[in-house]
Amino acid sequence: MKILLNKVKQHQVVLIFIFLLFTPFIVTNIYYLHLLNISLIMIILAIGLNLLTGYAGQISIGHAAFYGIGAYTSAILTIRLGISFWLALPLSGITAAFVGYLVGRPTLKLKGAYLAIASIGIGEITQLVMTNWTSFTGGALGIKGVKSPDFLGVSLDSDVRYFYLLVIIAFLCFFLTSRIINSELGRAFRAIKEEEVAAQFMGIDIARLKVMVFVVSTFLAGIAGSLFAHLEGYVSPYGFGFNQSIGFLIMILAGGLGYKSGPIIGVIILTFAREFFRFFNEYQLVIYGVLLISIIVFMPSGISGFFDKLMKRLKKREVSKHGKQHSEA
Amino acid sequence: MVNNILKLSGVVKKFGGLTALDNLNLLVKEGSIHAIIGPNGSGKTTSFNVVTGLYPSNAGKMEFNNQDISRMLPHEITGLGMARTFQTLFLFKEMTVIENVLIGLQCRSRYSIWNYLRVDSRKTEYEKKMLEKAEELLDFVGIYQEKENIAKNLPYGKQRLLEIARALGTRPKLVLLDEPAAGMNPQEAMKLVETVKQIREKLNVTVLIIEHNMRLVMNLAEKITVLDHGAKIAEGIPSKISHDPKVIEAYLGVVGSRKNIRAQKQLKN
Repeated sequence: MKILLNKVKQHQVVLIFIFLLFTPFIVTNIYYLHLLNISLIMIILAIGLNLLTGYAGQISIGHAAFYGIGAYTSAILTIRLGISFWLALPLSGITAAFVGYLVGRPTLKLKGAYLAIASIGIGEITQLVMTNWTSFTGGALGIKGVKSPDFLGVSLDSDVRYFYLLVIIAFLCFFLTSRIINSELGRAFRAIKEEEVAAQFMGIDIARLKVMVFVVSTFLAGIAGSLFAHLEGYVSPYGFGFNQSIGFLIMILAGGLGYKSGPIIGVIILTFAREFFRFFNEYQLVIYGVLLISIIVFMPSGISGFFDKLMKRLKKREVSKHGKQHSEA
Repeated sequence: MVNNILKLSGVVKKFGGLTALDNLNLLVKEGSIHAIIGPNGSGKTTSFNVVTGLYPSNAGKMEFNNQDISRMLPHEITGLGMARTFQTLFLFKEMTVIENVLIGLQCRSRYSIWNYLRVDSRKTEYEKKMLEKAEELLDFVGIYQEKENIAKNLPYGKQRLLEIARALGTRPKLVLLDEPAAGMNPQEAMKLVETVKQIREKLNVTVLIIEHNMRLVMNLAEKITVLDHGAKIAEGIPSKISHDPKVIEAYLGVVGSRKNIRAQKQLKN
């Protein structure tokens, strides 16, 4: 049994991947599969946001804006300029990251909550531009007819096919950010979160690293936005506003700030919980609110944090038990 | 001829109308243990904050290892080989003890994101080497057994030692210790004296130390600078400083026998 468990642990990533490959055959309800696709897109964004907030300790209350910038960039590039999706995808990320750089550069030099405030500002500006610059963004109606991407001649136009694309990209994002988190760079980010003053004296250029992590997280938000546009087939200003930004923050908070699995668990549980609570009709949001409050009260370090601590406690107990047996023998 | 590793000339620091450092001149000899003492509010910690780049100075020149550091930022100065500890502890509290030291050790890394995305087999070897060095440093200050603990759970005295280990991790030429014995019990303080001596002897690091514990200072320092109201009022070897009337006055006001007071009044006139 123990050997089996160890094997599972060693290859857990591969196992999860294989499981995901078969998911479209298990989740046959197309609506739930669509929801799963949206979750995967939000996971990509949440991974970036967790890197920014959970590891580097910087708060952005406008990440939906970068999500929206990615979506609009992709829509405009593919429809107006006829650029292929595969080029538009990274370009959306780069555009969002560029805007992120312009916002982050002046604000992250300052100590305190300036990024949080500036990010609310950029969120509002983006929203206004989307709604009012009708000739460019299509105004309140948005842009319709965003095409599904082609892959080697196969159009990824169904939720099942798109699911595989999203799984691969989400896995890639997870792996690459994990590499950062496990490296010296990740340690430096955590140092900034823990104690900015001391981090400077450890040779860390905090202004530069904060801008770096912000740019990475906005890049991921842009990528997520592009994927969203091509999944839904249209973009409109709704869904990229302040509420959505707060929603993303709540997801990573509930999942567990500063845990690699946090954004994944947070996004999936909250997205699907909300769907299942539909059953309660007008009480849906009330129950959802109760769920959020109970997570925060009973699991202050998020769902991932809660289980991580639980596992550690169990392990400790097992170790002390073994110790006792030894001393008895 | 011994080099001066740190040279301050005419350094001024003002906070609004308050002059925290008033035309401070200071020479620290390479390889020495140099102490700065003075009553509360005399500008000791401010002098550290200005030297290490945390606060910009209003005037004056600071040279470290013959390099002008007057306009440099803290992380640049750390890169040149100056490290410090803090009077009010600034550990990375939620991280483990060894991680705290590792952050010090990696202080000269170029944090370019591509370096870390790439797969590189040399990296694990490098990490291993760093771990070994971190363990050595923890052993050096005597808290090796705590290496897997979370920093905030350590007792106060050990947290101070961890700050020293972390500072030494940056491989400095000069380390500034800001009241390292504060909050330590007498035994811990005695051990600290040994550790600080070892920092100079074994690691060849110059030490500049702020300390209130006079017995410790007299035991350690080869040269003492006394500050009062941001200005230097005395400097010299410990035995001389402890009898300097100006120093006694700064610390205690005018006290002692009538003869002493008269003598001091005469000195002033």
